[in-house]
Amino acid sequence: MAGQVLDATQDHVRALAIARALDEESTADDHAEFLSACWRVVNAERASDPLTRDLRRMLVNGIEDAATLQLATDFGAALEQSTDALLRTGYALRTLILARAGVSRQGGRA
Amino acid sequence: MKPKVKPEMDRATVHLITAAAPLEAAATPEALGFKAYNLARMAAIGLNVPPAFVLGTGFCARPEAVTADLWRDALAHLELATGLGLGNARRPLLLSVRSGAPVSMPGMMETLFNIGLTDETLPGMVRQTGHPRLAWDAYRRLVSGFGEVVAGIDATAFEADLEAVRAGESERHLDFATLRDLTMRHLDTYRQHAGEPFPQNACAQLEAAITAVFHSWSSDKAKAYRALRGLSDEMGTAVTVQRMVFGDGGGLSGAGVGFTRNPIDGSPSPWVDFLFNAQGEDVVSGRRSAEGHEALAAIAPTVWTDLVEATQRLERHFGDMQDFEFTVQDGELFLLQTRDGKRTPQAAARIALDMADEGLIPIETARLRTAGLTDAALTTTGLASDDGASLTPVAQAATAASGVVSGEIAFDEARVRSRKAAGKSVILVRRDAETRDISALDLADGLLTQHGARTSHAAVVARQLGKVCLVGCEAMQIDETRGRMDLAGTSFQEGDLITLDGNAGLIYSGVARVRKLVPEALLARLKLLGEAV
Repeated sequence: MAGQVLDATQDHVRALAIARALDEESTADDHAEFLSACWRVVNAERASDPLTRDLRRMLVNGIEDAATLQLATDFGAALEQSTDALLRTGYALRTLILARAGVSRQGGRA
Repeated sequence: MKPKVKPEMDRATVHLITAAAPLEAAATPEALGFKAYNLARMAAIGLNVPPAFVLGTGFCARPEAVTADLWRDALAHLELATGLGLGNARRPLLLSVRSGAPVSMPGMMETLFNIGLTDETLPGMVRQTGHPRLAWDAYRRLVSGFGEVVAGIDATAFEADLEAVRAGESERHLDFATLRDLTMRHLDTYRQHAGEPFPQNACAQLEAAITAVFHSWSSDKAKAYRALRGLSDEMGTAVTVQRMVFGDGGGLSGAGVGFTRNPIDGSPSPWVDFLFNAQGEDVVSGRRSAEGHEALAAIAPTVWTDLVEATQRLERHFGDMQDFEFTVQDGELFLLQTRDGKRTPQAAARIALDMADEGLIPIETARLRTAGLTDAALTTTGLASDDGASLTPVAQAATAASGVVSGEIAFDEARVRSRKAAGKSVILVRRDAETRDISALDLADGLLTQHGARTSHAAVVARQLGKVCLVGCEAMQIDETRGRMDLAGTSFQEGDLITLDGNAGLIYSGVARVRKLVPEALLARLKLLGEAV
């Protein structure tokens, strides 16, 4: 799960790096690369749900000590919240960039 | 007598090293240098080597003739093979420019990394990797390395920049904002000392880097080294321009060093040290404790399978146990170097015998490789099991060289020297496994370190010197100023006696009885080999 959060964070940074350079001279490939990075961030959030369930099941079955169980559960929850936050930021970034490019949320050009 | 060198024109060639490209007839160690020649051989047998081109040793005598016109086509091939472009703001190709002579001259010539990074291409690297820290770290290393090697700026100028920003922190812990600040300082230092700005044209960087690396063949230290070793000045160095791969980009990335078989006892399975999120230098420097192959196999099983397959292919092609370096970048395995591996006499015997049995080498070759191995050289030491009370180890560590030794703890060379002069057996105990301790290690009877990998340079030296060596004992804390150390809760003073068991990777308090271990089975196999028709 931690690996997934790291990957999603790096994808978010990729999207930011592309976004800051997008302008009139940007190519279709630039836009496609940007959207692709955003899409991977969204997917990471979706993938984190079953991973969180697996993690909880594993912790409940494998840990008897209450303090360790609590800390491990908190850690897993923090990771899940990270992907939620990345998802929200990713959507906001995508909306901003598409608006700047003159594309509405429905996909048509304004 | 110095070896005969081929005519310069035969070696003034440009060679491409790309995936599965067959080895050209003109590709010889004399023309490509030893490392690049082996890279070309690895690529030719289908191993994943970062693409490269090599400017042959024949150009070394006249580096001023090596202009961009000579290598432009080769660079275009590299760009095609990687899908990246030198100076491209979106997908920048970053290159290493390495020296490489037909014979090993360790540390005597120059190498430059990250050529191609500029103010314009740096955002492209962030875009590719999603890792600003990696990008700024690469850029600041390029500016300081280029400044020292190409512009001749004293290293202390860049070290002062580092001291100014790090505020006591280790370099490894600096974040991207600090590294960005450091890069800006380095760019300013470069401008002040060189009298011109750091070159922001990637091709100009490459051209200057190639010239500088060729010139490093004629540096005072390189000339002195050749004079000492009786090496010909006419050989020249080749220059290898190769795509950079990064093991420190996070995720499924890392670097490792390995042997295709165990270099201590010769057993036929890969012996690998690996660090996630690291560069090769981190593994061999002796300052970090690497993990064995288990972590790699557990976290990246496909990479491990690829690596095992690569080791088998290396042995089939090279016909001997290999010492190799590799990098994993985003889950993709790249082989970076290979050469015949150094080994103990026991390993030399077992490997030669096993390889002959496996049909990898002819029996005659096995005989030649084992010819000088005496019974005494093959006899090792082990802990005596009949010495009364059973021993309880106080800690464990990674075995870098086998055998058993007991001795007094010493924390520095002066102490080793004085106690050896008094006729005592001494164990050098250090935080890191570093080659600067070589003279102390040469005197001492064993080496124990808190950090460091089995494949670090110092551990390799310890094996060659025949010293018992344990590394990466993370349960150990050393306090040199008070002359004491703590081993998993047990305190020791300098001068106290400990025993290192290099066979089992265990450390004992006090002196243990040792006995000679005569490898009867190995000797019997050697005898049979001598009698085989």
